[in-house]
Amino acid sequence: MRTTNNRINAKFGICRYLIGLCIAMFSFSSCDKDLEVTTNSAMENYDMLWKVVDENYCFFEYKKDSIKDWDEVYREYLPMVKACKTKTDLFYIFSDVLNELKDGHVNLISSFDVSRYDIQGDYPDNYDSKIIRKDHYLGKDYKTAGGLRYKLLEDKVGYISYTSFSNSFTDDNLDYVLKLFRNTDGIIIDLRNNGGGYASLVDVFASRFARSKTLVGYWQHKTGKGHADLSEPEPQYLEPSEKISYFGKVALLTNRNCFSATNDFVQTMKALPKVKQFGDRTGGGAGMPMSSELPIGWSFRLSVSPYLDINKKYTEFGIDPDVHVDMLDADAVNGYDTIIESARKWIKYGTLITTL
Amino acid sequence: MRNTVLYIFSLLLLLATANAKAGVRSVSDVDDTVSVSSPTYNYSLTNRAVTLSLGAWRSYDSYLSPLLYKGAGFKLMDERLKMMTKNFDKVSRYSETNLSIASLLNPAETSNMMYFDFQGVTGAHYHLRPVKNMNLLLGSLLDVELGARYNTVNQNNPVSMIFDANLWVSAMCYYHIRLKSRTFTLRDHFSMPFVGVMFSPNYMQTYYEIFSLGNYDGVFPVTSFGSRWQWRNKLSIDMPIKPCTFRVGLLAERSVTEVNKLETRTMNVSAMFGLVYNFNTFKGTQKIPADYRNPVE
Repeated sequence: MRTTNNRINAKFGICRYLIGLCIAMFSFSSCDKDLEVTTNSAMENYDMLWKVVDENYCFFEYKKDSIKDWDEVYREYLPMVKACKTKTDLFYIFSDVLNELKDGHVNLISSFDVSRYDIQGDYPDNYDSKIIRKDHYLGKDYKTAGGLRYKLLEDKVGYISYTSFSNSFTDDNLDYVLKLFRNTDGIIIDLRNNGGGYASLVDVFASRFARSKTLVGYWQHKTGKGHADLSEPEPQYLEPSEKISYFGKVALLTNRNCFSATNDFVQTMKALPKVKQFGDRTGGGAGMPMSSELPIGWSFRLSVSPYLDINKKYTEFGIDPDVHVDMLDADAVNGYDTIIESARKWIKYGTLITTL
Repeated sequence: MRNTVLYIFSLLLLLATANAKAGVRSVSDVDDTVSVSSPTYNYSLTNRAVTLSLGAWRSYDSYLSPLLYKGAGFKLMDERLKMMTKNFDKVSRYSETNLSIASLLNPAETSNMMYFDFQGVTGAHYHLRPVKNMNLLLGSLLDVELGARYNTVNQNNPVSMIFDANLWVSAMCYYHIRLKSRTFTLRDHFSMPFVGVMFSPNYMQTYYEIFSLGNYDGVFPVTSFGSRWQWRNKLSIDMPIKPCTFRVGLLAERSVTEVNKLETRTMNVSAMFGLVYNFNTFKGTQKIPADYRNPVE
C-alpha cells in the first residue's frame, strides 16, 4: 500500500515538475514575445510619432537654426527603426528622435522608462542643499506654508525656498509669509532646482508683488499642422492681488534647473519693478506641453502652446539673469552660498556683484 | 448634395411643426367641431419609458489621442411623450434625459478613457396616422449635452469637455400589433442634429489658456452637417407582461464632429431593457378615469 502511494506521489511529482516546466517555458516565451517588435509595428509607431510631432510641435520655426530639420531626422533614424527587433531598443531610438527637439518638455513614457532631455548639460549646479540648511539660511527653525519654506534672516531679509511648483500653496499661506516679511528690506525667492509644476500658481504668487495691472507676456497656440501655424500673440496681464502684498525689493535666485512654470514665474516677475534675477540662466521650457500616445502603448509629451516675454521673444532656451553669479568653492567651504549673498548685498546696499 | 437634401428635409419638418402649433392655438376655437367628429378626453396620459442600455462603445478624440478607444458602457434613459392638448391628436411634446458612462481602453490596453455624458432633450412631434395601428411622428428636438472624456494617462490634457446644444430632426414610428388580448408595440425613433453650437478648444489650445488666461475666441463654433454628423436610432418592442409593460430593443448612435481642426468620433451599439407605463397626475384622491388620451395610439 505504501509502495503504491509512493508511486502515485512520484507520478504526481513528475507531473508537477512537467507542469511547472511548461508554465516556466510559456512564461519565458511570453516575455520574449512581449519584448519583440515587428518591422511593421516599429514603422507604424515611428510614422505616428514623427507625424504627431511634425503637426503639433510649436517651436520648429523658432528652433530651425538650432535643431535638425525634422524631415532629415526621419531619414536619419529610419534605418535604425527598420533594423530594430525589441521594444526596449525601439524605445531608446524614439527617445533619441525626440531629444533632437532639445526640449525638456518632450518625454517618452513607457512602463519601463521615461525619456528626458538633459536641460542641465555641463553647466554648474549652482545649488547645494546642505548650505541652505545652515543656520544662517533656513537652518532648522524655518517655517513651512504649503510648498514654501521661509525664514526671516538676521539682517531683515526675508528668504523663501520654493523647490517645486508641484508643491502647491494657498492665498492663506502667502498671507502668513508676507505678513512676516512686511518690514523687511527685501525678499529672496530661491527658485533653484525648481523644475516647474502647476502653471496656475504663477499668477497667484506673482500677483502679490504687483502694484497695478501689468503686461507680463504673450501667449500663443498652434492653429494648424504647419510648422509656422501659430496664433497671433495674445497679451497676458498680471492683476494685483487684493490680499497682503509686498512692494519692496525681490531677488529671484535661479539656475539651469529652473524649468517650465518656474521659467514662466521668472518671466512674469521680471516684468515688475524692483525685481532682479541672480544666479544662472533658467532652463527654459516656454511651451505648454500636451500628451499623445502611440499604438505600442507608450505616451509622449510635446510643447504645443508657447509663451513669450514682454518683448515678444520666446524664452524656450531660458532667461538670462540680471546679475550672473556662480557659486564659488571658497564660499561653499565656509558654508556660504555666493548667489544668496550676492542677492543680500543688492537688497541691503544696492550693490550688484557678479562672478563673471 | 447630402447636406442640401437634409437641410430641405429639416426645413419641411420645422414648417410642419410650426403649422401644427398653429393648429394647437386654434383648437379652442374649433373645439366643438372636433368634439363632434372625434371623442373628447378629460385627461392626457404621459407615456414614460425608463430604459437601461448596455453595449459596446468606441470613442476617438484627436485632442486626447490619435488612437481609437474601445470598451463598454451604459446609458440610462428616461423618455416622456404627451399630447400637447387633450382634444387635439396631432401634436405631442417629447422630453428625454439620459446619462451615459463608458470605460474604454486604447489598443495596447495601457491607457483608460472614461466617457461621461448627460443629455437633456425636449421637443415636439406632429402625428400622422397613415394606416391603422400606425402612428408616425415627425418633429424637431432641442438638446443640451454636458460631459467629458477623461484620459487617465495624459498629463496636461487629461480632459476633453463635451458641451453643446443642437436642434434635431426627429422621426418616430409606433406600430401596434394585437395578439389575442395583448397589444405589442413596435417602435423606432430616429433623430439627427442639423444645427447647433458646441464647445471646442482651438487646435492644440490648452484648457489653461482658455479657462485660466481667458482666451475664449473661437471656442464655441456653430456646427451643422459639415462639421457635426450625428444620428441616433432606437428600435424597440413594448411587451405587456403582467404587471408591467417591458421594453427591449437596440440602441445605435454615432457622432462625428470636425471643428477647429479637431475631430471626435463616438459610436455606441447597445441592447436596451426597460419599463414603459402611462400615467397622469391627479390632485387629491380619485378613481382612474376611462376618458384619457394615450399619446402613442
